Amino acid sequence: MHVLLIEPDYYTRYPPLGLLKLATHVKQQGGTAEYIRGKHYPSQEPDEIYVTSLFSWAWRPVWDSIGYYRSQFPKVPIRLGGIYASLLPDHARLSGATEVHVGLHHDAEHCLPDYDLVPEWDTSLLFASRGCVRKCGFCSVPKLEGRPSNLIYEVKDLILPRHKRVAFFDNNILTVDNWKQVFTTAMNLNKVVDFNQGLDARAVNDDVAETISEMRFDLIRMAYDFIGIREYVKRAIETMAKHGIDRRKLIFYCLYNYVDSPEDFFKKVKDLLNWGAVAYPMRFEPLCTLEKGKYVAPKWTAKELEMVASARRVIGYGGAFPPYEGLVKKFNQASNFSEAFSLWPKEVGEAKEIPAEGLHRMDQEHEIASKKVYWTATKRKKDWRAALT
Amino acid sequence: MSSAEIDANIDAWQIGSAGPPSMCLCCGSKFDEEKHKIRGPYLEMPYIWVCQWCWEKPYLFFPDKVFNRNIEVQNTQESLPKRRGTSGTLDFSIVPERTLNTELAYVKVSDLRLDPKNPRFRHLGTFSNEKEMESALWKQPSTRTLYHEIEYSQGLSTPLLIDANKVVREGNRRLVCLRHLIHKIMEGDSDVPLTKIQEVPCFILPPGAKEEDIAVYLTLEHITGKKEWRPVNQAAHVYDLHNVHGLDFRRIADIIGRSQSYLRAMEKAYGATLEYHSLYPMDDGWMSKYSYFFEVYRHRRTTEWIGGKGNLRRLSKWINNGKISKGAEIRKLDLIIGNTAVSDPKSSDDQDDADRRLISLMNQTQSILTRHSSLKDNGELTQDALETIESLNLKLAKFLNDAKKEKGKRNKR
Repeated sequence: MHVLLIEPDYYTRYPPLGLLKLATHVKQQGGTAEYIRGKHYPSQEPDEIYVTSLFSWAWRPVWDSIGYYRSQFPKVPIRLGGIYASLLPDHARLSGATEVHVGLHHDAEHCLPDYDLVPEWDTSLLFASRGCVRKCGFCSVPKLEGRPSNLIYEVKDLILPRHKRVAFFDNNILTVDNWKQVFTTAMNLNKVVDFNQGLDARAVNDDVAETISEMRFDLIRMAYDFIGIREYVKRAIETMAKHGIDRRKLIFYCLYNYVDSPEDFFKKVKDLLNWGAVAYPMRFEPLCTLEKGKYVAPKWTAKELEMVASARRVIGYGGAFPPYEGLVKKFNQASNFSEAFSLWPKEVGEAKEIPAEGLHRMDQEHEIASKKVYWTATKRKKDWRAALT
Repeated sequence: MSSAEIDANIDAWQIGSAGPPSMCLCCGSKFDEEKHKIRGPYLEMPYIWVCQWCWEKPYLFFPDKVFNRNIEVQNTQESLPKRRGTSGTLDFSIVPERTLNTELAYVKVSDLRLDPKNPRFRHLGTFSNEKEMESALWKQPSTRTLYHEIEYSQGLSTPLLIDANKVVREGNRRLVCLRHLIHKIMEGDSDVPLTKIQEVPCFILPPGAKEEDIAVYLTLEHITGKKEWRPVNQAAHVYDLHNVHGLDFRRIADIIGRSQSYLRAMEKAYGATLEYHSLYPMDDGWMSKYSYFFEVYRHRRTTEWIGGKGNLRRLSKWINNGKISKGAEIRKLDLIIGNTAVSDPKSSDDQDDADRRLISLMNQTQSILTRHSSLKDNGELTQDALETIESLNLKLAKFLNDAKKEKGKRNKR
């Protein structure tokens, strides 16, 4: 059996973990697997086609891919899975796929990803756990993975010796029992670790900070999603700093455009800058949105969202606000959101209403800019996809 | 802030797990009986309960938006054009001094005809009837995507542009999608109400509309606009604007916002593609050869070369017999142009042979390197092979060095 594994042509920095696991699963069953990004004719006619998906707003490339492979192989079953398919199965069913798979593929879940399909990729990707103890309304994890499960205590076999880095995709690893064993394994293997989905600031204590301080990492991601966790965030930064971790390596995702107000957002950024950490604004998108950058929350206006976007571009660095002296001063002198995020005092209140497409485009630009910086920060110059083309 | 206050704040932001929550999980607003009236449950959706305000956002998906037949009553299709009474008007600005005055009306899909002169069809070949055109457009993957969008939206978000004879001048793909959707509805395979799509909004051009104005409008839409045509279709259109409608490049550049030199390259490349077609009429993929010629006309050196006697014919031959198989190889034409034996039209017999050998050598080298790269990755590259490659590299370097010195001397003279 020859199986085609299709990753539609949307933007992503990471290889499709689910498809790589499926490739291993197919090979274990005696079949062959071919990984294709976008729309290209395969090396041979497939018996089955698996298409993955990512964010709900990236549904068009998914439909486009399905349309293409459906027209090339009208009789071959096409199975659509991934995040978009799991979040909006009713919409995904309109794509023309034969079957929409919701949730994890349990047969493939514990397979080692077939990294031979992405030879230039140098990072082991893994989940040492699934799910999260929290039920945040803005997050898709409670819906997709539910409560913590699938804990893996021994991750050594999931990390390839030839890989220099390891990225944990766990959604809240610090709140599950196996965290220390997992951290220690990564530390002993001397790999550069990336807790890709972030660590829960509420769960950071001396034990966690001490363990992390002994690991190799470029940055530690956490989140300051709402003002209610202010004290926890402060405590996490202080604890990390006490154990010798550079505050500027602590990046906090600051959610905005959700149920917060612009003033809440201003306070969060100001807090982080004063505590010496980096604030990375993260615009909320509803989990069922089909267009990125269109949603404006009840307490926000298009103009205010544009102010954040412009500030990220002009006074931020790679889309983030690092605790540079000038920035800290600007935020401390500002008495409200408008003062903090306006770039030129004369233009306050005169900014043009930005059309939805404009905001969308602007947001994409920031995304690209921030990714470039992260690229540099992680010192990775080679594009792993180059080998595929 | 006390610990109790922190906990209270945290709870206020969490999803309630038992029973419908008191607030919309999408926008965070309290449910009420008006704007934020509760809707749900959506058991397969990330938000089981949402408010009416969120539900009405055209870009947020909820299953009953697609299948509920009362969508119009609930005023959710914000992005779709509101159905006007019988007619309206709209003026398309063609140039500052001139506009195309159109009438807006709902027209039966069954009355509409595809436009055989539309540049979008050119790369698909020639057709003897409308059915063939429809079939060719339907085969394109992008048409399928558009079809799904129309089915999901239950109609068109932008009116078609048709002439007085009901020939679609703008929106041919959409017409094909509508025909297929109607067919699907008639077969009982779609839940979209037929009443929503059997008549569609159209801008109707006045009977005396100038072809030149329509061509300029299509330029604005498809070359500078968001719905870009394929490069070859764009070039065909620029070619027509210049050669059929008599617009000079300065004027076209003003309309499109691209440099005159770029437009000239497009026009010349399309002209060369037509010449290629006359030389090799049996090549069905002749339109796809445009990219080769465009690559030639983009660079001064290759443009000068192709102007030489017989060179266009020569290049066409290489492309047709596969000696040049990728647009990128055109850039290597420099290797041939630099060879005086090749660029001298008098020595045409030797020249063809030299060209063949050089291109063949390039292809062979590429293939050898590809094979050896995989050997290298697997650690199977032998010492002998390495030494051979090194020796070849030295010879090439020496040759290049000598050639450069020789060229330098000649330039001084």
